[in-house]
Amino acid sequence: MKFKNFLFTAIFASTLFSCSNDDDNSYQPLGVYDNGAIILNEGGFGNSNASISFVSDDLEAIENNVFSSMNGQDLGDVAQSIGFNGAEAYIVVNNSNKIEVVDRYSFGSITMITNGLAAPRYFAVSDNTGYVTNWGDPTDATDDYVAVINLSDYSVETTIPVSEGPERIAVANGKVFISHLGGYSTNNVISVIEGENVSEITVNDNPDEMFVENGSLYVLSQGITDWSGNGNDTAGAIQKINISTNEVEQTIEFEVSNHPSQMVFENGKIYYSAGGEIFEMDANATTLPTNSILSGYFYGMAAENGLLYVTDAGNFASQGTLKIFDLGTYNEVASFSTGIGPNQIYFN
Amino acid sequence: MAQLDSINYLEEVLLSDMRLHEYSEGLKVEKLNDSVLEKNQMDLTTLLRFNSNIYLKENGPGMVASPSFRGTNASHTAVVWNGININSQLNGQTDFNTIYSNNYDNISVRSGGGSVLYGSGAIGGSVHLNNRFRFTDHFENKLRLVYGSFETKKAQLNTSFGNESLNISAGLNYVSSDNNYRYLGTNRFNDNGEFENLNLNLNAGTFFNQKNLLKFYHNTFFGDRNFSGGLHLNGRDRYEDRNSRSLLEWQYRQGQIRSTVRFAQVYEHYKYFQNASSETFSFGKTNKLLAQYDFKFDFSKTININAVAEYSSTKGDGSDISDVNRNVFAGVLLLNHQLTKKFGYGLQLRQEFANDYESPLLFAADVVYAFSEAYALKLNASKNFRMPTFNDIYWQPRGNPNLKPETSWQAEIGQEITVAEFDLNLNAFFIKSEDMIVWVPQGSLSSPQNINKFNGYGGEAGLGYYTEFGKNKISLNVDYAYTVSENAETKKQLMYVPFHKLTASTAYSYKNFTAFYQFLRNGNVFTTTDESRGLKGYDISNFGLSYNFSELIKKAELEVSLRLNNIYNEKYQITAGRPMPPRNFQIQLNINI
Repeated sequence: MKFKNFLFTAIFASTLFSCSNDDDNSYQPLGVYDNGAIILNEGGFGNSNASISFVSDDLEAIENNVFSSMNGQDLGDVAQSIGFNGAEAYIVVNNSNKIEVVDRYSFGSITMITNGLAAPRYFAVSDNTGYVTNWGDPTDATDDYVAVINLSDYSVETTIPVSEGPERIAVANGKVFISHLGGYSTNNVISVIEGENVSEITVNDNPDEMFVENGSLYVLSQGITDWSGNGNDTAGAIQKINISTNEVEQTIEFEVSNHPSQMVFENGKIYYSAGGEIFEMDANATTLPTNSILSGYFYGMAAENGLLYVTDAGNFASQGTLKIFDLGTYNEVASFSTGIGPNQIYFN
Repeated sequence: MAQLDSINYLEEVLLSDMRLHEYSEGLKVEKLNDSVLEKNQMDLTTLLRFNSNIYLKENGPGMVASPSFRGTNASHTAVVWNGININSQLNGQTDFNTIYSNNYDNISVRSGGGSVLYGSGAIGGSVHLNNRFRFTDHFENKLRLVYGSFETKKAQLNTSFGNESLNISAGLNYVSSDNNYRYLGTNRFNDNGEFENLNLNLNAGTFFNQKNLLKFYHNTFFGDRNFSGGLHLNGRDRYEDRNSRSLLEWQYRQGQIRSTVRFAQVYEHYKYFQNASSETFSFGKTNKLLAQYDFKFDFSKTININAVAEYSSTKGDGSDISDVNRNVFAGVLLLNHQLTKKFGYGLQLRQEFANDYESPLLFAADVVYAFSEAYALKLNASKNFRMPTFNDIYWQPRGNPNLKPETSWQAEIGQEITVAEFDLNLNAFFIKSEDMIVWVPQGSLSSPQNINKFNGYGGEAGLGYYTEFGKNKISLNVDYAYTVSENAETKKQLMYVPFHKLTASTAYSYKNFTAFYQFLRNGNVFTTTDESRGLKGYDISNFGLSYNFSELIKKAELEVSLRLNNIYNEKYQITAGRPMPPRNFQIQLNINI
């Protein structure tokens, strides 16, 4: 413990020297696309028009088509997410069954992973190993798996079969936690990969976003929406799971007909969206807030440095919109036209 | 001009859709004659791409193809089979790659609105597939074999038997291809694009006395296609079509009266396999039964009226719609009047009564003024519609039962000029459509709403030239269309509607030898609704040679042809991300006995 503290302090201290404000000439940005937000535009399904946009922290302008400008070719069909390993960005292109590995600060191509993936969704690194969730054949509920990537040669080393619809990945305490949104169907588990072992934690239906904070894994479950209108919905929830014991320690449920869709964590607060409203609550709250902070249906959401970034994907056949709100005043501070179907925001 | 004479009477007997001729005087109707059909690929998509103003979009050769006629969308072109509208009841469209020209005796393209005559979807125009009877003594058989690049194989067998009062013809048509061409400039191949299609036709007609003629038409199509991917996506899915159409027609002709009773059945059934190697599929099918009574009365040689009453009942079922039923009664009144030798006009009205939508009153009017043999001026205006489809109304869970039909108004002016061996057509049109059905996100869900409005206008110019001298024959056809079609609110051009399309074809024949060359120039298109992205235009040329060995074998005709497609090996995409084939060939053997 003591050594860990010292190490933490040493690392923290060294970052104080490497981060500085714009006036200090000693800081070298790591590439053109440093100090800003990366917007991932998934494109229209089947239209192969996924792209990357970038907005620097000064919020002056957006640059679209970053990947194709840099590499002279299109990104692919339905870019679902990006995962990072140091300076490498792994862009998971779901409908092209590939991962484009690029430098996160220049978006120059490093390599491509094309074998061993089948409808890949998200990528994360744990203990110098890459993990990619895959839905497999959409009509087969039993072939979903996690691909394990060797990060030295970018190959799929092995595959771990998991329950249907594995989606996001959170890494903590030497474990890999996978939320099962359910793919084209429904599911209600978090898979836990510890070494060779895979176990499952039961949560509310359709778990998606997760983050780790203070020894807990927070999971947002959307609940099941009964499209036929017969009222067979199930409740969504924000649940806290102890990352040592894998036990669900707290469940805050939503009203059955109110299905949440996004959740992010920033500076001690949880921001989530439900029913066309965005809410803010303390990470250690035990009940849901009654009043929202913002209105609107958004496709992607992220928070950083006191700002909330949200995207509107429109009709997936024309440019989407990125809006940035100040989390102190809740006022809109910037708005940009992005690529098609903006769905995720990441920060350099 | 609409005058009754013996030549017309003969046409009534031989042709299937008389209204195409009798009530389209003020419109542009272009017939693709036999020599055009012979020189072109048999799929309707490629045939019309090179020989009409219609813009055809397809996700790769043989894959799902849809038309855009005068800038309108895929469900605004009606495909009419022997007078019966066969657009799908599920999505309001016809996949042009499921129609093969060699099953029909003539194919015509009628530009402009035709909902009064042909019902829902005839807005930008209509494509007519017609079979023709021959009541003469004959027994003819035809065999056609084709082999081409990418393991393309086609086989066609037709037989026709007839005498003065009877004609029976049957046809069988098979097409298959591996479709595994290389994407130019890459080392990727078009994977999972194999297809295999089979068409069966049967047509029979008989006079049971001088005044009564009974005709039967039938076509069944079996389609089995894997859906290819593209540059950035792998194709994994598969699609099966089973479509069938039947028409029984009893025509009675006595003096000034022509009375026709028609019964038709139009059946469609698709199965979609998301994974080609799995047995799991989603499906949709509809079965339409139609009964029609058509009464035409010729007041004189210059005035006639036509009244039609039609009742149809369609049942639909599928993975996403269940047990749905649509019943429509339609009443149509048509009038044609040749006022003077040079001036004639037509007036048309249609009203439908349906159980699941409210139809507007539809009308059309057209005028022809023939200044001379060499110059005619045509004007027409119409109100047309497209009914909400089964998918729009009944799709579970977000179909909308309160949808109205899409409606459209248009006006057109056309000029036909003939000078020596040249024919020139000049047309300008304006189309305004509203209540267009779009699936709109409502919160996190989507539901179809009548909210879009479109405005379109454009001009078309067509030139035809034909001459013979000695044993030489030369023909030249050039067609150009300029189309603006925009969303009335955003003022942006629709996706996949090119501003410019130019087609040209020329053929030269000397005795038994023929050479032909076809050219297509398609302009840039936008691939997003806000004009932010697009696909570059392309030029494609095809070339062919054929030799007719008709003197070689007695009583038989043998013709061998070679066809080269995309001779300049142009790299092009019609749908973004899906490259089209490089240069490829086809060898064809035709035997007529």
